Amino acid sequence: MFKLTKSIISQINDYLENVKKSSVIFKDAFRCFLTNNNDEFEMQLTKMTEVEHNADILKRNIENMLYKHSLIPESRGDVWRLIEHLDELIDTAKEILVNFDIEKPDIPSDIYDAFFALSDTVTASVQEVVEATKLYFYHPAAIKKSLENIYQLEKKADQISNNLKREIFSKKNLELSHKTHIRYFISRTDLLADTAETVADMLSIYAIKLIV
Amino acid sequence: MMIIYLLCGFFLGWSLGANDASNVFGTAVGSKMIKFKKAAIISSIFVIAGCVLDGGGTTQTLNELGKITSLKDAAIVTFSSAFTVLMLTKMRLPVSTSQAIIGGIIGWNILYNYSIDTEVLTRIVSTWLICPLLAAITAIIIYIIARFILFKIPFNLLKRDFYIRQFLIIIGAFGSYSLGANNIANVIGVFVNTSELTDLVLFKEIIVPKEILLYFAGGLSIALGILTYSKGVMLTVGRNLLKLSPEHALIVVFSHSLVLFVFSSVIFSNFITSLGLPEIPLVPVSSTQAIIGAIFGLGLVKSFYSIKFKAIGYIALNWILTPVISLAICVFLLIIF
Repeated sequence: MFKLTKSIISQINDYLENVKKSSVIFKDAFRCFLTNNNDEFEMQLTKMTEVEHNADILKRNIENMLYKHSLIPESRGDVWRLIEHLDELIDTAKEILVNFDIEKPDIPSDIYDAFFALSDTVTASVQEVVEATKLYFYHPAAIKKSLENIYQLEKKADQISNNLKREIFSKKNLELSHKTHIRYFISRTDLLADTAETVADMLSIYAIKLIV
Repeated sequence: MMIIYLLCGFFLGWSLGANDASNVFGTAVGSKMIKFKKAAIISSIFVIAGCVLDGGGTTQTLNELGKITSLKDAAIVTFSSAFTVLMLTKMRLPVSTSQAIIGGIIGWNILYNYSIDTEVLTRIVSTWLICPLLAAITAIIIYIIARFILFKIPFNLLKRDFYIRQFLIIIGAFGSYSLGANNIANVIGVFVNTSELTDLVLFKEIIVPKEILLYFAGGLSIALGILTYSKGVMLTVGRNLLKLSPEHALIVVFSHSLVLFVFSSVIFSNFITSLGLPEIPLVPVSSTQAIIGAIFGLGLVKSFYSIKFKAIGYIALNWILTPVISLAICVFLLIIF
């Protein structure tokens, strides 16, 4: 039983590392795309596919083992929902990169910096979610500060994406279809911070349940 | 006829095992933290150990209230208690075997015009009041300590789950031991002074005192109740009546077990006396009332609004109802037979 417990703890840690890795890959690939470094972008996309595949295997293993061995009966439903939502973060990051690859949006160079700021902020929110999830498992009483950070980052991501959208739609030299296309990528990128906020909301309730 | 008389005690032991083991392992089994088979085996072994090793103290107190020397009378007192327990259980009231047997013994005293030792009776009745109160205080103290530890020391959720499972087994074993030690007096206490039962001589040399035989047989009957009929009760208690988180279950069962141990252990009682503190009365108390007391204490410190005051009312009602009904049935049966 102790071996099984240690094995699941290690798999959960590996899973969280994959979520964190996906955010780093996303940030690097985003930069590669905007700087036209196509080979590096392709490499990052391949890495992302591997990370997503590994995370899916770990997710299924963790969920199966929790239910098969009746572990943490009071919290396994919460852990299951948590992992499903964390998986959305990896899936969304991968989907954005795949769409960059397929649709190759033409992003005006004068908004690159704002785009980088958006990608940095959403990446930071995903990484903070990983830290908060670790705290949920190890020290739920100390999770509050980490959750506050996630909410702040989500707010910042919203501000950047709204400013970006305003800037895009105020440009006279772009077609409406072009503007709409760029807006789609801004919204999808911002979705990562929104999903991080959803996970933070869940964690705040789940942590209260764990505190005796 | 002797077998039929002894079967009355055996029946009371069986029903005690079937019902009260759920107080110890109900939440753990109901929440799937421990499998029933494992819980039943551990509980059975430790109940028998508690009966044989530490059942003397409470048995002596019961005998101070009434020295029943006739096997038939002992059987009637036991049967009255068992019948009262069965009747009140059917009425869905949390009944206490300990209070039923006291009612039966008082009934026997009244019918034979024996004077009742009021000092012993006061000692017994006062423990009925102290037992749930002490369980509540113990639960509050353990809760505060557990909360402090969990706030200060980071602990992985899964490791915490692993250790809670181990503690539920260890404390469940301790609870079963205490249950056996404390409640064995209800099952065989009235048979100890009967003249029909004698010591057992093995291989013409080894003498097994009848008390030990009775403790062992009583423990066996409780264990049989656990093994054959407690599964349904454990699942009902664990999933519906006492739906607690494993952490809270641990606190409640530990408080319950400590209180039962305090009221049954001769060694602990002697230790307290040696410290110059007042003597602890060794009296069979209600396992269910100890559990309700512990849950009340936990509710008090966690959330005042979650306390079920109805349950407290039931305890108070049972302090009067159970012994009175048992007394009446006992007197009635003793007159008839």
